[in-house]
Amino acid sequence: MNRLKQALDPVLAGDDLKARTLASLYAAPKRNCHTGLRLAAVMCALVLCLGLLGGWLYLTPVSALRIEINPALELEINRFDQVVSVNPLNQDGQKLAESLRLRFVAYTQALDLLLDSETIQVCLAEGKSMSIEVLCEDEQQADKMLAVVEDHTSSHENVHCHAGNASAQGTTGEQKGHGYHHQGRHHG
Amino acid sequence: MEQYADTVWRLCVLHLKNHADAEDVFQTVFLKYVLSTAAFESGEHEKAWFIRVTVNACRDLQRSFFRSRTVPLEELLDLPAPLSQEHREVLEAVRSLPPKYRDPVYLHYYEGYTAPEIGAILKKNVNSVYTLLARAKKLLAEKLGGDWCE
Repeated sequence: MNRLKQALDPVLAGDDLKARTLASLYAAPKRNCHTGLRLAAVMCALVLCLGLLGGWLYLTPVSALRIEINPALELEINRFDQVVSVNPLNQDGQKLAESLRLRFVAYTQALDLLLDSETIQVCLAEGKSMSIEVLCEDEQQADKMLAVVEDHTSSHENVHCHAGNASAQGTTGEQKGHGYHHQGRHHG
Repeated sequence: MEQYADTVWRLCVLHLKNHADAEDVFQTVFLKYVLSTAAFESGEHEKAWFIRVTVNACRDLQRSFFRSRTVPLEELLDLPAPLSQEHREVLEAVRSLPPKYRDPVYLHYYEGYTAPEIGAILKKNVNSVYTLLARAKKLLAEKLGGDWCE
């Protein structure tokens, strides 16, 4: 027997060491708890990020409807066709915006609320001309919105719908840095 | 655990400087075994897995930024009876070898593995194992005399 074998033979893993190791192995699931906690934290962070992203997507306007008769106001619309903000363009517009609940409803519903409001009804009855401008960066979306708006206003006389031109006149959306703008088409 | 505990412990003792580090690696190896999904073809295969995992765990700890303090051999081994002078000399001589020599020496002269088997376990070229064994034998002969492996 070589001397290394003789020297290493008495070197044995003691019973205490084995007992402590077995105890640590039974305690090992605790480590999994930490892993579970870490996983839960990651999931929470993911949900938070998705929530923030969803919030940002929901609250960012991508188009707008500028409505002018004498009350003048602008409805900013998100990519889900919901009105996310109402910007009065004059004092009468301010009063009208305050009298109606136009935020967080579909823009078609907001348009119906406006057209059915007493103020607008009176103006139209007086023969005033109402202008509705569709402001959108995406031409296809602008055309689609224009068709929807025309459909919703077809029963009213003196309501003119058209896509606007951003370079000619500034919008509140542009002032805020949003993507939509006026385009130069008129559908009467 | 009974089957491989001594092999794992001896490798820890040959590589590590104190009892706490050795115990840490010892427990890590068995924890890895419990969590392992490896399918062992035989007892030899399983033993080779233990040796490889222990060697790697010792190497990882030695690379650690936080260097451990060195304690006397008796304190590290935690033996019931003191080591004889002769055994002490042999163990100190092997522990003083550069780390790359210690595993081939242990596996060949204690466990009885051949160079090709050691190459397969440690994932080394067989010729490298022969070279390591020859150099280690020479270094140990300088410290312990030429008859240490007879």
